[in-house]
Amino acid sequence: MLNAQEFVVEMSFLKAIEKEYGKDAKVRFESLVTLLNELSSEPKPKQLQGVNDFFNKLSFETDMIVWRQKDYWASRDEFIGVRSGDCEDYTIAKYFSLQQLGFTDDEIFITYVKAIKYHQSHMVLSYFKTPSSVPLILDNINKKILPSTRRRDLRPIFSFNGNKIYRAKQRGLGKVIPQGKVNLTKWTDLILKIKKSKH
Amino acid sequence: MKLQTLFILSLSTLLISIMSLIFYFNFKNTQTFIENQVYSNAQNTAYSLGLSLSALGQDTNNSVEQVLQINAIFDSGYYEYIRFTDMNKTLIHEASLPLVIKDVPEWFMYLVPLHLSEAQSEVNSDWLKVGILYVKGHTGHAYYQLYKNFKDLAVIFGLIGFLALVVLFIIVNVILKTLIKIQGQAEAVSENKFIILKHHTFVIEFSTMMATMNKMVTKIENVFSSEVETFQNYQNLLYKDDESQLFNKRYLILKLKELFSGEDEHFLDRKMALISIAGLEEIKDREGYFKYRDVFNEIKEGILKEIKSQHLLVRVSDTEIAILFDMVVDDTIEKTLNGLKHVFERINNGLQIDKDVLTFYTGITPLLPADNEGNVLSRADYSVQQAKVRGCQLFCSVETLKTASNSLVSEGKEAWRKTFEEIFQNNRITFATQKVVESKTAKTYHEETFLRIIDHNGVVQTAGFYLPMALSIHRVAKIDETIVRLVLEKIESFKNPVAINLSSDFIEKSRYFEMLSEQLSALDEKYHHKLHFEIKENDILQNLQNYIKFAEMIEKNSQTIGVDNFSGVESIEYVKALRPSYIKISASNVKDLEEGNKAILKTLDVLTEIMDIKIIVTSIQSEEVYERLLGQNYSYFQGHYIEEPKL
Repeated sequence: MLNAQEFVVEMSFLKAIEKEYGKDAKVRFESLVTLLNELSSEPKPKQLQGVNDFFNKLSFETDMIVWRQKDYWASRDEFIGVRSGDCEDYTIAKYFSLQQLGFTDDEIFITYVKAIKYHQSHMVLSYFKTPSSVPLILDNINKKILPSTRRRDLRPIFSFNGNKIYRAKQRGLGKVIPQGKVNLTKWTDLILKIKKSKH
Repeated sequence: MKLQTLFILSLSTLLISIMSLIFYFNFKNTQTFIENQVYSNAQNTAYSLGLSLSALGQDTNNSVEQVLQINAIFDSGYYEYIRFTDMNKTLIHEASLPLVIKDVPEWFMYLVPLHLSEAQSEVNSDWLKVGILYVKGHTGHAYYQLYKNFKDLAVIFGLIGFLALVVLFIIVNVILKTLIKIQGQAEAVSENKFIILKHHTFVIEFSTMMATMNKMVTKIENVFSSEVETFQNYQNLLYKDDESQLFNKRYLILKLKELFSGEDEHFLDRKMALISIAGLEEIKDREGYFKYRDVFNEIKEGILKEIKSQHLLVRVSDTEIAILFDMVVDDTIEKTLNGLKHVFERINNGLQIDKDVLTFYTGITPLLPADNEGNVLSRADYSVQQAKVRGCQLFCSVETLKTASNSLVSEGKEAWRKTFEEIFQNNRITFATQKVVESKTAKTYHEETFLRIIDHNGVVQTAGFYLPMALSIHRVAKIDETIVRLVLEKIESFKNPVAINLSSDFIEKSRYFEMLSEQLSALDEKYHHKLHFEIKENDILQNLQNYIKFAEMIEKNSQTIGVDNFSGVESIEYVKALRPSYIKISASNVKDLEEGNKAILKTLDVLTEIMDIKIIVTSIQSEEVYERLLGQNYSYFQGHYIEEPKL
């Protein structure tokens, strides 16, 4: 077991990842664990920056190329494993990683936006310091974290609670997902292989 | 508790428990599903409406549109409320419906609390959050759905449960059918019945058990049959004449001894005839043994046809035959003698040999009180000699010590009929009792009832005074009925069980049989052990089928039967069919068997042991007899020495 103080991942899982996606994938997983441990005691802006930078290093590919499907929402593990994904995969991976670092559902939202320049639908992660503050946008097109007021290239459509929208989508993809109002934290813990260690 | 009941109870409990659990979890799943569905619907509504309101932006001019959209969605669905607040949770607009739930009983809502969660959605204006939308599905709708589902489930589970219980009951019955039969077989063994099961079963264990039980029952039955055969052979050797298969002189003497030592003396009605056949020896000498045998058998068959079954026919010697008349009046004997005369005439005519004419010299003598077997035989012999002295061509008889008939006898049958009517009408029938005692514990096994009739002068007379004529005019069954009635009336007052003697007339007449059956059925259960019914061996042998029916009726009513005057000389097979609780054998018979062949008594012990039958030795007249029988391990005794009959 790789033990980096706060976050850990089972060695058996790393082996399985190595077997499934190769050695590099294992290294990426270990890097994420290291990053989460480094960020765990940092202030929120630094945590946002660290997570955004980590995932933005992965390359963009369409679902059709990576998953042979028109619209597939990869889990964070799959995204790290294959090292490529589209905007939803970036947003979801960032969402769950920040959630693990302590961000709440009132702070981070998955936002559907229109990328005006590309005239395409797009997805970003919005961070609200307070419910009424201007959000910061974590995006994979513009890799810098900017307030929404500086993102004239994006037109917001609607924001969702990340857990709920992810679950709904997974159910749509045919995966067995807990119904309704179950304890979301437990469910999140269940799907994330990188876990908080028991001190 | 019966195994069948235990099985059904256990399996029913298990089945009901499993079905209840399935019902509970099924219902709970349905409840959760409905809660989730209502929540999902609310969440979808929240998102849709949130998206729609977001499109309106933060323009206050749009407040009317906001309200309209909220109301439109609210009115088109089934919600408890849709609430819209700003980010500070200040209410902007709310549409709600009071909680009215029809068609769902209060108890259901009390027992099944529904927890519907509130769905939320943010409302944005551009990047900014401008409000929160709260949507909650209507509990009433959820309750209605849930209650409907509950009723459907209850009906389905009720039907399945009922069918399952019926199937379970049938299966248990089928499986246990064999076991119940084996149980019946085991119980039958304890009741001395030998039942062989032919039932087929698919349960291997039961099949093995059944085969084992059958084997065991067959063994017991074989032992019994073998002992019966041995007993019968010994008895035949001792008491039967090899040649004619008639009783021999030893048996006649035994019967006379029994009569003189009997409990209830009534000698008025008993006489013995000794027939000496002159000419038989000559036939043997001239025509040979086989001719002699044929003629003797013809005489025997002829006499047997003329006398009644209760009379005893004995071959005393090669040329002498004795008839012991039991309970007859004078005219009966006269009729019988007349009948015999015709028989002898026919036999003589049939011989067709002038030289071989047979002459039948008959001597008749009564059995007197304080008499003995020696005197009776001597008197009979003397009477025969007198007949020979007088001389006759075919048949003549001489009666010595002809007893004076009492006035009633001389009056004839019509007078007797009136006498009995009077006896019945004036309730002049009563009974005396005599105890049978178990020697080891000194406890009374039962008290046997003896008929007593109160005469005109108020004197209590023994049965012997009246019974021969009662037999002659067919009033014995009525007398038995009266005794039964009297005993049943007083049954509460008896400390010990009571034995009632029943005649063949009573048992064979369906009217009395049915009446007794009804009386016993109506008898309180606490008195079931208090009645024993005693029947005579000789009567049983005359009509076994009737007595089997009688024994079944008695057993059905939880009563007991016993065999009186047991000898087992003619047959003992009937005990297998009747399964009496006891047999009564006279002390004289026991003594004679002991002197004749002790093996008979041992065989009798084995037989009664197998059949769980008590041997009661009767006619115990002295301490000497009692002590001797005690030494032979007999336990139940009756007789004047034990207790005199008392009213």
